[in-house]
Amino acid sequence: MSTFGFSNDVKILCGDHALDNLPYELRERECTRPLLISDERSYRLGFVKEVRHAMDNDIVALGATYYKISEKATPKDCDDVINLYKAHGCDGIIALGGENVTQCAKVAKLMLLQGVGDFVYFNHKFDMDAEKLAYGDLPLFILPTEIPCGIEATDRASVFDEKNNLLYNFESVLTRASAVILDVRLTDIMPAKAMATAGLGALAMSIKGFVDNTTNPIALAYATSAIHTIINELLPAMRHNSNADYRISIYSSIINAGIAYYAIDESLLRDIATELSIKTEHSHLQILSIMFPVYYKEKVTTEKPFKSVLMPLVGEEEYALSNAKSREIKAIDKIKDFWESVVALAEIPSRLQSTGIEQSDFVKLADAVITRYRGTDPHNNFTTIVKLLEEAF
Amino acid sequence: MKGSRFYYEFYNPAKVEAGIGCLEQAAEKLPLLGLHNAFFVCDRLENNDSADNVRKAVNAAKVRTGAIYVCEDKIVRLESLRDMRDVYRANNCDSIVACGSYGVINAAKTLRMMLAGQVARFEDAKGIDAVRKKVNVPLVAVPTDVGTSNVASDDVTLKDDEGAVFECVSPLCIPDFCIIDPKVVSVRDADAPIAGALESFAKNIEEFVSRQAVTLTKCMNLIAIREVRDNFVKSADDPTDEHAVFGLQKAGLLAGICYVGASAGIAHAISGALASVTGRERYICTGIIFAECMRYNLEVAEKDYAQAYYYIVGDDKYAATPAGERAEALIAAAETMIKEKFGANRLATRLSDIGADEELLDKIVEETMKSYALVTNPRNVTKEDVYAILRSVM
Repeated sequence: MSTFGFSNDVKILCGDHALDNLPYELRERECTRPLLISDERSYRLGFVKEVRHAMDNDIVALGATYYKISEKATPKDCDDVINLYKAHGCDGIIALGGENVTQCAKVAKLMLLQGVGDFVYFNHKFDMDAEKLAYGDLPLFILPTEIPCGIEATDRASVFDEKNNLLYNFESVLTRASAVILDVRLTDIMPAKAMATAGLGALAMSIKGFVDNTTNPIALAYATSAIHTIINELLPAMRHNSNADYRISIYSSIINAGIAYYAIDESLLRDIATELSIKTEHSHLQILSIMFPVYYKEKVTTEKPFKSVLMPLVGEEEYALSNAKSREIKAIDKIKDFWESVVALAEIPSRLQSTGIEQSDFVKLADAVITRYRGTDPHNNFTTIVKLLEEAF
Repeated sequence: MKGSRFYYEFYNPAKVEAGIGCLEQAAEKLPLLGLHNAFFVCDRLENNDSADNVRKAVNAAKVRTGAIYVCEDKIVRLESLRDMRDVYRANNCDSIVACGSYGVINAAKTLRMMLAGQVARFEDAKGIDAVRKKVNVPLVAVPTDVGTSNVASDDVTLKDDEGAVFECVSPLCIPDFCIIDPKVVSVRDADAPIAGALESFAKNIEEFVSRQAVTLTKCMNLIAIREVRDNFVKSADDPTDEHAVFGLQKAGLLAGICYVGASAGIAHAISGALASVTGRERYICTGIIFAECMRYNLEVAEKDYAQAYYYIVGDDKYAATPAGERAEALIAAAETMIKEKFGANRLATRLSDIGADEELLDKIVEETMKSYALVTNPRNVTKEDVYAILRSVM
């Protein structure tokens, strides 16, 4: 039966002058002394200055600033942010930067709300409603300055402990942002390669979100809109990477893809990408951009509603004219053609071997994926995972 | 660096639980949302199984019924709201559960906005974002009609003490929790699915062509239009078909979510004014004017109508219709749907059928021009345009 649940109260503000709304959004949440956290790149490019300019200093002024978040958010970054937040009596967080800043801010928010002073390892799914009631909320505004990673508007966050080679994953409503603000003034021209990798990764997320959310019309709409945008605008965005409209459009589609992708409870593709990401230190989106054509070629027979994916891929006209029986194949071909065009234009790595992983790692890797995977699909077994890895290698 | 040309906001704060028979399981979550002593708003109590069942499920989740208020206003009056506020306070309620049709949900949304914003005079909430949140008043909405769209939207329509209608738009109007369960829908007559389908269809079409529509809202609208196509006839033929009713409820829910970002258009504005002036149900008014409003927007919405046509007719008919004729075909399909179903149920199809004559036109046009929905209509609407549309369906 088509029962579904959906909850995502992250406000998305996107496009021209979106940043100008930040003071209003802060005031709406009674946040008057936010802590601004960022990284050196964003500081160097003048984005910190842009945010300072946008602030309404009479009512809302920055409580403190910190722009030394590591390239990969670490437990120490979270501790530093928490200490600074408390020392300056802040009442909200503005996260300005790339994935590292986003992840750090989300985990810091979780820890602040739970009253945890030092970094601790939580690895279970929290009872979201109970949490929100018990711990209240803390305004968090995410302002991506680089290509988003897909978790911005979700309940997910992770930090990487390099010392112990551990990825701490969190799934909690307490990591949720109040708003994501995408403003062209806070973004710089992105190399076509980076745009291609992220765009293909987001396409993988949105297709997964599409086929696994058929009973949830809200998540399905997020997935559909992301597929539609990426298919139509990724190649122009790469060819004209100084065009801000294309850039913002692709960025917002990555955020929407993330909402659909993380609305799924269990996903083998996500678990494979997570384990490969830990092992190779490549981003989740980078791994997905390599893995997903192989994944769908292999898994299409078990991903039942796959033929419907053809609609956002080709539009109503071509879909209506296509043979109903061959839509699955046509969808796979379309994905493959698109993937090849993007890979060729950007000259990005298309095989797993480019990530530095060895074939001899596959058994260990497949074991780790199976341990992580909590789904019940019998097709998602050790043999399938090794086969997928080998084909993508 | 080249600047960007567009801007949009999207905000959908309502938590949704939906499914056939999901009520009991969903109600278990209510204490976690902060409900302990709920103010219960519903339609008339006699033979109201839906309200009884919702109250039982809420009480079983250890949420007390602090007070019950029966609201029968189609458009909630300030007098009723003042009553509701007094009863809420006198019984130390801490939250609101709304179980009912459009009017009940509308009343509960308004009450929550006022209580959460600690607004003394209801008139002060008039307009867009006039109220700021000061205290938390959880609001749970359980719609019992098929339309459902106002369950997730941020607007309410009120009637002041002089009988004038005004609108308020605020995120505080959006319920915290929407429980969509077709088992709770009270299908009192065969018109209910028609009303739900028509309101959902009209709203989704208008949002789809709205000036503020974005790819995400458009995708939601198309999914919703397909739900209407798949379930309208089934539910009209058999109003007790829970699967079909659920499909229409989903379409309504999506329309409500999109309304927050995309708003609606001229049909929404005119039907609201007509309902207010004539006292007739809004869906009847929508049925009378919708095809004409679509025709009015055709010159600017042709491409969108043509795309939406696919979701009404499916593969074969869409492919067989020349691209240049699809927009007109959508309007014709909408017109046929309304005429056939309205005709079969002997519902009004002309303004004269609902007592709206030439003398009332000035008042209807005046009310229409106050609507925020006109701002997002794809064509700039003038008074003369509204007169022309109304006269064409006299």
